[in-house]
Amino acid sequence: MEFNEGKPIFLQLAQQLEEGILSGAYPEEGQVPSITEYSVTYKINPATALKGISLLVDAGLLYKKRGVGMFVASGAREKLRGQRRERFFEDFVQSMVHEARQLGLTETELVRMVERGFDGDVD
Amino acid sequence: MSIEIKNVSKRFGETEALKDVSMTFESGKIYGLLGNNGAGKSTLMNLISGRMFPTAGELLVDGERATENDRALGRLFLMSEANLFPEDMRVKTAFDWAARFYPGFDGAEAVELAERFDLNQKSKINKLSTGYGSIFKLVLALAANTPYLLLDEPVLGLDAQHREMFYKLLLEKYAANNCTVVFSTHLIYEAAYMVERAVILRKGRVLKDAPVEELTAGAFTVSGPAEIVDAYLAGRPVLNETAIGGLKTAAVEGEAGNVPESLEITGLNLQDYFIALMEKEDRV
Amino acid sequence: MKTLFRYRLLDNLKALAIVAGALAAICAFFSITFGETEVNGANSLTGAIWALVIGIVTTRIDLRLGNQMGTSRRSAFLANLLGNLAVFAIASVGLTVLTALLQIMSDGSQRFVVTDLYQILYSTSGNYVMTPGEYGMMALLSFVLFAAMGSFGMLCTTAFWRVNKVGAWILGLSLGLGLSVGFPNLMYRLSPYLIRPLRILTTNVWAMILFLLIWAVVFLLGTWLLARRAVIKPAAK
Repeated sequence: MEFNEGKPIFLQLAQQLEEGILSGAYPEEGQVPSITEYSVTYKINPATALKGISLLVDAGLLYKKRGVGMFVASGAREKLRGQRRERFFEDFVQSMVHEARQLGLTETELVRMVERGFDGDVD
Repeated sequence: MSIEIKNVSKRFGETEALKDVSMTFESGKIYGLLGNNGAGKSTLMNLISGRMFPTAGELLVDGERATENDRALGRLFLMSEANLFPEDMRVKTAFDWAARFYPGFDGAEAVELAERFDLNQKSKINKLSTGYGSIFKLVLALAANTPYLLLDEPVLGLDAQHREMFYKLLLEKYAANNCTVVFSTHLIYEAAYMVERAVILRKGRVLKDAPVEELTAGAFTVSGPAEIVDAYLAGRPVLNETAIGGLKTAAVEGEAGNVPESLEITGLNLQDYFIALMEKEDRV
Repeated sequence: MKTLFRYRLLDNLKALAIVAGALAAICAFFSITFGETEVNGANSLTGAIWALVIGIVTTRIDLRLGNQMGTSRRSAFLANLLGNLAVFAIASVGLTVLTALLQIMSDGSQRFVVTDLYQILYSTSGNYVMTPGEYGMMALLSFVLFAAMGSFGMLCTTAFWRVNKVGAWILGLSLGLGLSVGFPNLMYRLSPYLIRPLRILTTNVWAMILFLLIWAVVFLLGTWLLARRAVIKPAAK
C-alpha cells in the first residue's frame, strides 16, 4: 500500500481496502488487519486508519467481532461490485473523455479504441 | 487532560524567541511541531519541561502550573539534543535510575529496545555519537510510559533504518498507551501521515494550528500552460510559483473550484505545503 | 526528590571512599617508608577541601539530572543539599572514629602521630588521646566545617552558572583578588577590632561552630536564590 497526496489518507486507505476485498485478497468472513497494525505498518496515525475503516463499516463491508478484530462481511464483494459499477461512469468514463478531447480524438475513434481494448482482453 | 500554552512569550536578551503563543495539546493525540530553525520549537518544549522560565504567559499541564511542579514534570518526558546526564553515567545505569524516577518506566522494555537498536548498554552516555545519543534518549522516552512525550527532533542523526524502526515503535506505544505525543522534526515528509495535528511556528509565532488533513485539503497545486495558469491564479491566495519553459506550477490555498480544461490539479503533501507556506511568508 | 537524594548520597559515598582510600594509602606509604609520620589536620584540611569540591561539582549535576527525570529545581536543590549533608555527617563521624582509633593505637609511639585542628585549638585535656566528649566535639566541628565549605562550593558553582562569560571573568577575578588582596588588607585594617572575636573563636569551640553554621546558611541561601531561576542547559562540550 502506498499513499500519495491525491486524496485524504483515510479515503485512500478505504479505497485500497475495497480493492483488497474485490480482488479476493481479503476474503469474506476473513479478518483484516487491526487499526494498530495498519498504523504501524504504513506509518499513519491510528485515527486516520480508524476513519478509513469506519467508512467501510458504515457501508456494510466490514464488521467488528468484539475482542477479536475487523472482518469482511459476507456479500461484501458483490456489494462493492455494484457500488463500483455505479461509480464507473464518473471514475473512468469522464476522465477518459476529457483526455480524449485534449488529444483531439473523435467519439468514433474513442469507441473504436474501447472495442480494441475488449478484443485485446481475449487471450 | 492536556498541556495548555497561554500567551507565552520568551525573550533572550534582544531576541524574542516566542511571541505571545497559545495552543493546546490535547490528551491522546500526536502533534507535529513544525517550523524552520529558530522558529521557537525547542524553546517551547524547553519551557514546557521547565528548563527555562517564560518571560510572559502560563504553561499548564493537566490544569496545573507546569513551572517548578514535580507532579506536572513527572507526567512528561522531554527528549532533546541536550544531554543532561552526569558525565560518567553509562546507558544501563541511566535505565536503572530512570526506573526509580519514573514509576511507569519499563526497564525490561528499555533493555529490549536498546538491543533492537544495537545500543551498547555499557557505553558512557557522553561518548555516544549523535545518532546513538538520540537512540539512547528515544529508548528512555519510549520506555518511560509517561502521559506526555515531548520529542525535540527525535531522529536527529538516525539512519533510515533506525528512523523507520522508531516511527513504528512510536505508533505502537501510542496505540498501547494513548499518550500525548508532541514531536518536532525537519523530516516532515516522513512524519506527515503519523501526525494528527500540526502546529506550524514561524519566527516565534503560531502560523497554523490545525489537523493535518485540513491543512493539506485546504491547498492544491495547479499546473499547465503559463498564461492559462496566470489567468486562473488571479485573485487567489498563491503560496508559490515555479515556471519552466512555457509551463507553470503553483501552490494555491483554498479550493480549486472551476478549473480550465488544460490545467491539472493535484493535492499537496504536508512537506510541500509547509515549504510553499514558508515561501509565501518570506515574500510578505 | 527521594530518588535524587539517594542518587546523590550513593554518588557522594563513592567519592568519599576514593578520597579516604587515597588518604589512607598515602599515610600508610609514608609511615612504612619513612618510619616517622605525622598526620596533622587530616580532618580539617583534606576533608574541608573534599567538602568544597563536593559542593562545586554536585549541584549542577543534580539540577540537570533532576530536570531530565522530572524533578523541579526546588526538589533537586534539596536532594543535593541533603545528600551532601548526609555524607558530610558520615565523613566527619568516620574520620573522627578513625582518628580516635589511630591515636589509641599509636599512643606513645613515635612512628605515627595523628592530630587535628580541634585538638590543637580546643582540647583542654592535654592528652594525646582525647576524651570521648572531645571526640564528639571534633566530629561536630568537622561536620559544620564541611557544611560551610560545601555550601561555599555550591554557591560558587551556581554563581558561575548563572553568569555569562564576561560576568564569569569579573566574578573570578574579584574572588581571586578579594581573597588574596582584599581580605588580608581588610583584616589588617580591622585587626584591632578583630582580636577579641578571633580569640573567642579560637578558644571556644561552640563559637566557631556557630560561626561556621551561620556562614553555611548564608551560602545556602545565596545558592538557592541563584538556583531557583537558573536555565537548565547541558554542560558546554
